[in-house]
Amino acid sequence: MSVGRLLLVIVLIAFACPRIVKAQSDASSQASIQQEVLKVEAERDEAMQKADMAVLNRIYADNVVIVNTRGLSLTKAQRLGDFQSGDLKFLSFDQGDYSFHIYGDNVILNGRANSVVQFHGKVNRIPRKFTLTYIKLNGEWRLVAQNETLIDQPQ
Amino acid sequence: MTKLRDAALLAIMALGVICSAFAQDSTKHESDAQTQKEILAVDNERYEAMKNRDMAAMDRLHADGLVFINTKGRMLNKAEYLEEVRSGALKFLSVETDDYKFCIYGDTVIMSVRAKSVVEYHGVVNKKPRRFTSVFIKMQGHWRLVAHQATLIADE
Repeated sequence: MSVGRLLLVIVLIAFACPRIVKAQSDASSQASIQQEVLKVEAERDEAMQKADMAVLNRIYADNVVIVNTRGLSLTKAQRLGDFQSGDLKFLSFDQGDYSFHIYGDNVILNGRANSVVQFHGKVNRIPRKFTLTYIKLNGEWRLVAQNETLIDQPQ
Repeated sequence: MTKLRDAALLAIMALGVICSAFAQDSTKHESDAQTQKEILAVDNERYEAMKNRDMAAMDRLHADGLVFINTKGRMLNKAEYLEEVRSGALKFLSVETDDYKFCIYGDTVIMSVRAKSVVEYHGVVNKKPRRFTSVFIKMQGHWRLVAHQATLIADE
């Protein structure tokens, strides 16, 4: 190999290495954020089923924006009140099919819920799609927005 | 005399702290109002772009990782959503929105809106009111829509 070619190879390696390392580091950081958010989401799922108000209060941001499957806009106090009073209850819990989009300290988490829910006495078995927005505030992942939509069933 | 001077000093310091807190509140209030204006302007641009099928503007205003969930619970990515607009499968026959709510977290804005717009979707006209949540993030100095979900408002 000529000296010129050798130099070219060295330059190419020097150019590519930091990018490969950065890409690996980004992927590892994204995977770590996903794990953190999934952990919080698992805590929230359990807290919703047990009506654990302390955990729900910690996870929901004070100004959380919630739109339920009926298109009602709810505040944190209203949503937590529904759990506390038993107006909102999970009769079975099944949620998954998650996808993540991560923008620094913002995470958009989409998924599908097949849980059977009782809301103010009415049972809802229709599957739904949701968007959850988590933001890291003071070092903690907090839920700042939640929107749910029933999945249109083929007639 | 010393006590009086100390009391005066304390009062001046307390006044300073209160004024500083008010100034910070006022600055945050102004900054949030400015952000709301920017988001409303971007959202207006989106409606104009959808109406006119201006795909260059649509491309600019939506993040590449956009997740769009429509009132049927169908999840679309940016390419699928833009194609619905480009092809005319999604058309706005009229635009009417109200009851805006904003939550601002630095360069991230959550916007909740009620819409009574009349929409034609794959040939079916939908006049039902709906509520949607949009998430905007400022990227390289520009606000972009990163997530949007719409839910029909149930009859009471």
